[in-house]
Amino acid sequence: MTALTPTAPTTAPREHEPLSRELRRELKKVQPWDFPLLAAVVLLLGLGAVMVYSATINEMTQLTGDGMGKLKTHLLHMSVGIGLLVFFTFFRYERLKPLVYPALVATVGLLVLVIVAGFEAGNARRWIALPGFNVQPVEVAKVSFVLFLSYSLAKKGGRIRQFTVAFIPHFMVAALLIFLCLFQPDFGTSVILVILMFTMLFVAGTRLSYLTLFFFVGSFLAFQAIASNDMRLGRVMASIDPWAHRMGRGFQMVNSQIAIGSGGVFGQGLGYGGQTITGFLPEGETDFILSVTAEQLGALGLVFVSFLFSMILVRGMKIARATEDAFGRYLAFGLTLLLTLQVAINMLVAVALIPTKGLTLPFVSYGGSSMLMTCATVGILLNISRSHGLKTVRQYAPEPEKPAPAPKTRRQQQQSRFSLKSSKRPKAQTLDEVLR
Amino acid sequence: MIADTEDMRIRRRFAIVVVMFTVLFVVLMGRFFWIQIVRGDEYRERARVSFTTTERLPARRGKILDQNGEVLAKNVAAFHLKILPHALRDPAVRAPVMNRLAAILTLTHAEKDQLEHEIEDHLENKQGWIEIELGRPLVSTTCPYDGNDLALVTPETAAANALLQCPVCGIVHEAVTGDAERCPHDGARLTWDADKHSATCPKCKRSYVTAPVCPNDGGLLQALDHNLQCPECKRRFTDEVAVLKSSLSELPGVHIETEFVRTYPQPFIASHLLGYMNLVTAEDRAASPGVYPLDARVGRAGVEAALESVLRGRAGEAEYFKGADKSLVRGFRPAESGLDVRLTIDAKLQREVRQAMRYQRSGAAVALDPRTGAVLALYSTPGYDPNVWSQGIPKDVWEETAANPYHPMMNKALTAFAPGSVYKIVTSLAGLDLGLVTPEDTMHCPGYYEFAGRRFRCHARSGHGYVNMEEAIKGSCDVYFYKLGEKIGMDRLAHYGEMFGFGEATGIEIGERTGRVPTKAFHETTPLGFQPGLTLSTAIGQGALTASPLQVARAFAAVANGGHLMQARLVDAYLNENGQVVQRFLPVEEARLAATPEELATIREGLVRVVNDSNGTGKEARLDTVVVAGKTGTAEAAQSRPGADEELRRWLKDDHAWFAAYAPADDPQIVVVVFLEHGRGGGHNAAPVAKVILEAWLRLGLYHPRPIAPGDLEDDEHAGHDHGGDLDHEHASAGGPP
Repeated sequence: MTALTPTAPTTAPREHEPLSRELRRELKKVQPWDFPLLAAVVLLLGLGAVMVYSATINEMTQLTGDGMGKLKTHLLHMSVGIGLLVFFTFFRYERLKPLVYPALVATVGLLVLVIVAGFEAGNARRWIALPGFNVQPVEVAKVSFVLFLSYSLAKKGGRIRQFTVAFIPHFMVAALLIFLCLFQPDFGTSVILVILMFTMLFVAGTRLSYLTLFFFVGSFLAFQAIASNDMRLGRVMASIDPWAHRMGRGFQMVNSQIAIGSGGVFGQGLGYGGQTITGFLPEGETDFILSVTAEQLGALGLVFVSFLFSMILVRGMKIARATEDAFGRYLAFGLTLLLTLQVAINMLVAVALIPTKGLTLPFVSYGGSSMLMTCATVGILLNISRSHGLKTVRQYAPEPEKPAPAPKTRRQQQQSRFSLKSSKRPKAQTLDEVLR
Repeated sequence: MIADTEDMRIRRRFAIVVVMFTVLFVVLMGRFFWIQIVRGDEYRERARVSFTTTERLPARRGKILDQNGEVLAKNVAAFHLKILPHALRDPAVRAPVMNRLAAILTLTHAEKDQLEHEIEDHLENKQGWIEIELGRPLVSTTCPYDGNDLALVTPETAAANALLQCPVCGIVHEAVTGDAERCPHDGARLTWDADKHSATCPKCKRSYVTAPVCPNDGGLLQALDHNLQCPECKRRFTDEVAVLKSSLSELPGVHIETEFVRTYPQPFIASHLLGYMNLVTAEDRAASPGVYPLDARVGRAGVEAALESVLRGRAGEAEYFKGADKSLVRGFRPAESGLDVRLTIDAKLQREVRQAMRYQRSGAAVALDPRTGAVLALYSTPGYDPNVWSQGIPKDVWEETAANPYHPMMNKALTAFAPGSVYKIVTSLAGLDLGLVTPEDTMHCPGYYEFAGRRFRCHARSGHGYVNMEEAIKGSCDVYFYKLGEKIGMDRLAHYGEMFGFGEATGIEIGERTGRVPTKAFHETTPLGFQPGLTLSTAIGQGALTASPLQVARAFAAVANGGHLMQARLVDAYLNENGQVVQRFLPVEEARLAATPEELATIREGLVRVVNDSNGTGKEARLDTVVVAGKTGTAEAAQSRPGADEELRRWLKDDHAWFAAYAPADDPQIVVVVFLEHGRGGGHNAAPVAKVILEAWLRLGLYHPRPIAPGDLEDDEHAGHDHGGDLDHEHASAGGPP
């Protein structure tokens, strides 16, 4: 970045006439990236670390004597996640296009691998053991599916209204992924994939009649999938009346409800959640971290968390709307949708409105794969938001035929996009010329 | 334009999606509101119930002390190790914990394996939340073998021989050099084995080794740091509780439960007086709701029962988070210890009384301070071991006790028997007070008295001849008192009996039988009805009359102290944990005898002569150092009992032997009543026992000769009258009873 500085004439703005007021206002709107989104994510990450520590300290102290054991791992995940976030923030999202199909293939490979060589935890086989850490392929699958959908929808453009174009390829991919997911079995992810696909098709402009048709077909298939599996059926039954199954399937839901309920307005205080401390709330640091938060921080904590996630939703949608590039728009929309869906489903599970899914709360829950992928997601979103600044600049940029901006080498272009300062500086140069 | 509408449509669809999500979030927030705010209290209560557990913190039961602070009943803390298998479900956690435990508790491999096996069993059978208790209590500050307080081993003793434990067989050996010949503990010659590796002491059976290898199984011995030693049995221990407590944080799932066990350090000296503890019954729990848990122990007899509410204290309560370690407490109310009870009993005298009574099959002895009514000793024989009863009575002991013809569980000092001639003080006073007889009036005793066609015999078959009152008391002349009783009449005699406190509660704090003073009205309720001859029997303490030794002692105290009928007292004060007096009990004068000092003086003179005249019936209680006054009693009490063997039948036929005495005669400081059930002669059998007790009382220095104290006006007043006709003894001029 600093290597570029000498090439830009630092004295340039002073030499020329001051910018017009209108232009300056426009320039103020240009932000290097979406700060509210980043702030919400950072706050959630911080809260997550605190809550993971609070949820695990007691059990870890008992089991290993090191109360900070899980916190340390969580912080490690988080630092790698932040690294990914930074990387993707400066990695031009357009350059993801050629990676779409390889990612999809890799995802399928991982999903097959997890069926073949994954190890079981709970009742599901979801992890691939790698030396030092475990990978949960469904987390990768969700992101790569969004990538694929965005790419595909962007490529098809107006043809999306045709049935075969809109549905056949996407359904093929979705069906393959869901099929592999159900092998684990991972019903929650399957549901997310289906909703993602429908919503993105809907936004892309598919006819509502097709969607309605598939909605019913899908519902029928989902019903079949639920009814065919005892665990799923039990969970559904338990979610309808958790208190009747409070010692069995409904145990988690009941205790989650108790935990949330006993928080009250101000909570019991950090580290004082009885349900958490006594281990009555299983998976407190992963699936039910929201209950832990609600118990310890009360309604205020919940409002805070909900506000932050709403912020992510709003900002994500705003990025999507502001993006002109079709791929970028679908990608931003899809990724925001992915995050928000996970949040919504996790929260619905925590308050016992829908059956237990095994989905984490993004940024807050303990869990490496989830942390890494959600951070990468935010990185991509931020990068898309960065392109807006470039777009604004481009609006004021001279017509391409004007010779003024010396055509940069590809290398220089790439470097300039990595640099916050440099992204403004060429703009200043071009503006000078406009004014001249 | 087309692109524009396309864009519009996409924007609209975006908006729809955002609206849908907003609705979803609103639903979520509503649900949160519903759970946390609307139904929050309900969930909080559910949470409290589901994750907390209340534990009862037992209160320390108050001690029972004698008047000098000697402990008669105390609590020894027993510690039990409990393990929660759930906390050790992870084998990686279990292994170090078990190793640590084995090291601290010096478990052998077998014991450790067994414990581990038990934990695994629990975990497999889904009983991870059921605690496992270590088979033995933990050692803390008392020797588990004999209950003595452990003493810290001084460094030089510790250096003498290191203790080595075999982790395989668990046997502890002591290290010794190969050239040692004698046992360092008792000096007995050691017997060495063939290869000079190990030795044993033939006397104390200790095992010695020269190298840290177990001679039994070759296990490598490990050094122990047992730094506590029992001064009695010389065994050495570690304060396991202290060591465990200091490392509890590294021992998840392990906790120590404290329990207080009631122990009586001198079990037999005052078993009836102190009583014992027993498991709580449903009635007890119903009578005082919320006080006793199911496994509580309750005082059953004597002081333990009578002062249960004072001694037991109030249990505390702690609300814990359910879970492995109980470190987090939600609610806490500390237990309030029970108050210590200080008795008026003097344990030294009590021991002497027991010693004096040791040859008696069945009976009781009471020592009372006539000035205050304080009970100094109260002993009933045969007794029982309250420790055995308090720890749950074994069946054989129970059967043995139930079959014992001498009723070991009965407190005979507080049970009413026919008093015999000791009751004659009542008849005497009634005669004098009613003016029916003067001290000088004589009556003839031919050895019997013909009355209503029946011959009432005197115990002296040949008769006493002409006797006045003093002589009649001295010789315990029955005929004199028959005649006197005839003049007094049944009901007037009963009135005087009640004036002396017979037939009434003595005021002692523990349960007693009040006995019976018969009246005409009483006899008319019996099948035989009232007959005049019954008056004669009553006049010499026979018939339907019964009195407990304590009642007799109180009556004699009233005579001794110049007519003050004092309430008998056993409890001196309640003390708190720090030994400060919380409540103190003062002597209470219940009534005053309706008798002039002269009348009492006559009786007292008679009582002095009983012991001190050469032909007095109680001459066997005479002491050289102080003048003893007393009265013998021999009450006919022949009984028959089904299933009695020859030996028992002979015993049952014998008379009850009584001897009531006070000393010194001119300044009474102690009243002693000895009652021997079927003990035959009061003079021959009971009086010597009383003499031994009085001797012990003097020997213990409990007699404090009063210096001349002219300031005591009230006493002077009494002294002038009381001792008018008294024999003169060295303290006569000093004053009478206070």
